[in-house]
Amino acid sequence: MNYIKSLHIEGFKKFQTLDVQFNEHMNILVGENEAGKSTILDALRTVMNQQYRNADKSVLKDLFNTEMVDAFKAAPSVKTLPRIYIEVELVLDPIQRNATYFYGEVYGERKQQDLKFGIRFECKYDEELGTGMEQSILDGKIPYEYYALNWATFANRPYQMIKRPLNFLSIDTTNSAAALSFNYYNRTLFTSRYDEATRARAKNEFRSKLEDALEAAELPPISDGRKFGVDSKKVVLETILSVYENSVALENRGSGMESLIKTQIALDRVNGLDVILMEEPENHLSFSTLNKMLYEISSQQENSQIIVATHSNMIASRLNLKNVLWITEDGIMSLSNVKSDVAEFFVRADDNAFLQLLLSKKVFLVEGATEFLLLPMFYKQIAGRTIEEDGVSVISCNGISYKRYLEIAEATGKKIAVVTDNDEKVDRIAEASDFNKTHNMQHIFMGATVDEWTWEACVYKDNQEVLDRMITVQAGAEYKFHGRDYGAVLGKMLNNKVDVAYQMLMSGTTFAVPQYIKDAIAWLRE
Amino acid sequence: MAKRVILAVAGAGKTYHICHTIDPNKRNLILAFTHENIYNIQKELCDAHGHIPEQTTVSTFDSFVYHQMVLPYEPSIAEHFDRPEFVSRGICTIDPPPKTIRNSEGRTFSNPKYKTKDNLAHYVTTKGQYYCATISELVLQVGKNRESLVKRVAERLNLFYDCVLIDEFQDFREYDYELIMALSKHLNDVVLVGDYYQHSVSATNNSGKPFKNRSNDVSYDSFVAELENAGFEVDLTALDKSRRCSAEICQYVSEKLGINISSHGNNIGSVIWVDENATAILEDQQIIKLLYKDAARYSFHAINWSYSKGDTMDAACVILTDNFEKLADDKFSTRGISQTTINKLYVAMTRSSGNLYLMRSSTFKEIRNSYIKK
Repeated sequence: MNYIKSLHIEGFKKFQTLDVQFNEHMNILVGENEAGKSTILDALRTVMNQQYRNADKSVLKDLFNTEMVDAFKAAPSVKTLPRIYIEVELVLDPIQRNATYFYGEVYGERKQQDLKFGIRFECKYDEELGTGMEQSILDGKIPYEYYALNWATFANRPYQMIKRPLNFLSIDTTNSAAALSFNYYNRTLFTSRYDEATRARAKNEFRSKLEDALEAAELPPISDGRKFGVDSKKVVLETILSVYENSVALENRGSGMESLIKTQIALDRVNGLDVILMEEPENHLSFSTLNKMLYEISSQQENSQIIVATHSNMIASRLNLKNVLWITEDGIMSLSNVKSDVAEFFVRADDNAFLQLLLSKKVFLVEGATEFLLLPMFYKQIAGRTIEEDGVSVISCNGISYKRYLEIAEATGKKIAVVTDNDEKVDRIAEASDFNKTHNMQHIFMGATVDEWTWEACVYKDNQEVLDRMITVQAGAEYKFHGRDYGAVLGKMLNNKVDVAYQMLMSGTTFAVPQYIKDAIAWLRE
Repeated sequence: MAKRVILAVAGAGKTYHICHTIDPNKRNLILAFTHENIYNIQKELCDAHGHIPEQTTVSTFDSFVYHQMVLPYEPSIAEHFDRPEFVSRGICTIDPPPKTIRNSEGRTFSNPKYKTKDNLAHYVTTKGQYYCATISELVLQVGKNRESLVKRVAERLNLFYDCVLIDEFQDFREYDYELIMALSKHLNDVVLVGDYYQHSVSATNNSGKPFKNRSNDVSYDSFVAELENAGFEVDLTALDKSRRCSAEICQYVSEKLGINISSHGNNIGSVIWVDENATAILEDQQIIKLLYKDAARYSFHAINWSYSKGDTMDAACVILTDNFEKLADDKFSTRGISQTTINKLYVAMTRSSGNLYLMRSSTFKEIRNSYIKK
């Protein structure tokens, strides 16, 4: 199978340098806004589709890495001018006709090295072309017009899309210029779906019928020997094709359906696409359409290589966390080490906060909504800063065992404080203490004795007076919790966790913070 | 591992054989010496398979060496010559400075511009263009530790091609030939097809290895023995019969030139000496005249012996040189005539699929003046 193996970027947009290794089938790019998800897809398109080939050179302004531009401005010279270099390594079947055209050792350093398949792109100041520009460069001006864009294969041959090594399609749902993106989609599909002979026949047929049709209209001539004819350059079949479903053109469907249908077609093996790029497929999709799309993708992912950039928890976990490529400040991190059963678990539990876990610096993992509401308040009280200011997230496990989250987070080296209940179980207290001794980045905090068995019990214990006053109970009512009597106020707190928490939050009162929560906050801030 | 050489006789259908025996579903690489050869192969492939099989690549040897053995390995070349900054800018057909030069008095000097083979400049112009003339030598030269470029290139060929066929391999000389031999050592499946007796006929490259050992010609038998030593299975029978020439012509050529050639027997044609009717033959448009040289000087339809290589004619008239004035004599011997000249005549005498007319040099000289173009 043909696929993209890796990407190497130098000086392109956000990245001074970046290396990405792709999985053979599914790749899910996640990261903060501006982390560079789109830049990675853009780099792939730049190389594979020769994007920007005919663009005005002024576009380079947006493509150069700003640090490199700054470095040039600080010390202007021909040597320090910014430059873009991108390499895409491919895995190709040597049976394929053009494969040899891409196979060589002309990549990376210039030395004898392993042969690989690939394409490289370089955007560099052309010194010959720019003769006479030296002074202006020394003055700190970047001579955009004198840059040359060059595409070549690892075999040192010029790369042209006509010799494309694999069928590559980018499905773009973020682009509002629907017409443009559609055209590209239709054209790519047309070329990958039919072989050259079939395409040529269709084009030829189309052109001659068109000429015949005008002929049949029997327009009177303009003057002697002069008449109107169809200029075949103006009607190129590919540019006017659209995909029709039940006689409705795809671009006339709602943009949600449009994405879904585009994806369905792209995934179909008959259409022969090797690599499919998808940018934020969650855009414009309702929950149920997204569900349907994810089903299509995951059931057909073996057919091709899929590279998807997303913000959606649901997409990331449904398409298997092991396929996540997480863009961090220090480069790309793969979650392929996540255990299969854990990943499998999240495929099913798609109502999770896994991406949030990845995207935060420090995390409190809590049991449920009560802690989720109150912990930020306690944090500010103790730290004097908000959790947002410290880049801390509170993630509610909502019934998923925190252990699942910890297993994912293990691979990422994040600092995570689990705030949980001992549920009156002594062995749990011992287990947590053992865990903390052996883990540096992950600690578990819970009440120290069985009396402090749950969040509410601890909060009540330390704030009995205030809470007795604040929470009204009806005389004679039992307020039993799981059949046990904990006293009316605590009983009400346990039975109405979220309401009480909300009431506490809105009361403006300062509460005493239970010791294990203080410990958790202090540890996380270390 | 299959390494085969098929030695053919003139008109046995080398190209036909190659094109009809390849497996169109395999990845075949067919290399030949000239663009003319390539064109003939492409035409024959279309006849055999309706089109050029999708997986089959046809290329001239030089182009293949440049694109597949040099360009993809340029970093190795740069490293080998310790020139890490080297980036080539194409290829050129001008020759590198020769080792020696001759002054106006005919004395030989060593050329100060000549660069020895361990310099990149031996293979590349100052502008960074590869010399076509030394490109095979370059491939043979480059290597690092025990890993030669030739070996790496052979691995490449094995990866991308199931079978490598080289047509007219007797046309390759010196480093080209050496490269073919060195590559063949590592190739999984290689077939060389050629005619020993047509060597040195092409206008280019008509001296040197493998057909000359110092200044002596290498005989047919020792040529075959050398190929066998190199690990080739030498097939002398698959193409030992001429489909083009009649039995009579083949027998005549064997007898007179000492070159073994027999006929497939499907064509009929005689050897006819031209005496009284010389003008009629020269003026007959249907009979193509084959001259040793200067064919273009004459108003009748004529081709030089060596340029006729690969052609088939309905009828041909070979105009002999002085050397062969006594060809018709029973006692005629080729002794004293260079192998190159004999080979050229062999080519000329084996062009016709019909009658072969022979005209003595003396006969021609008497009438040639009236045919010289004004």
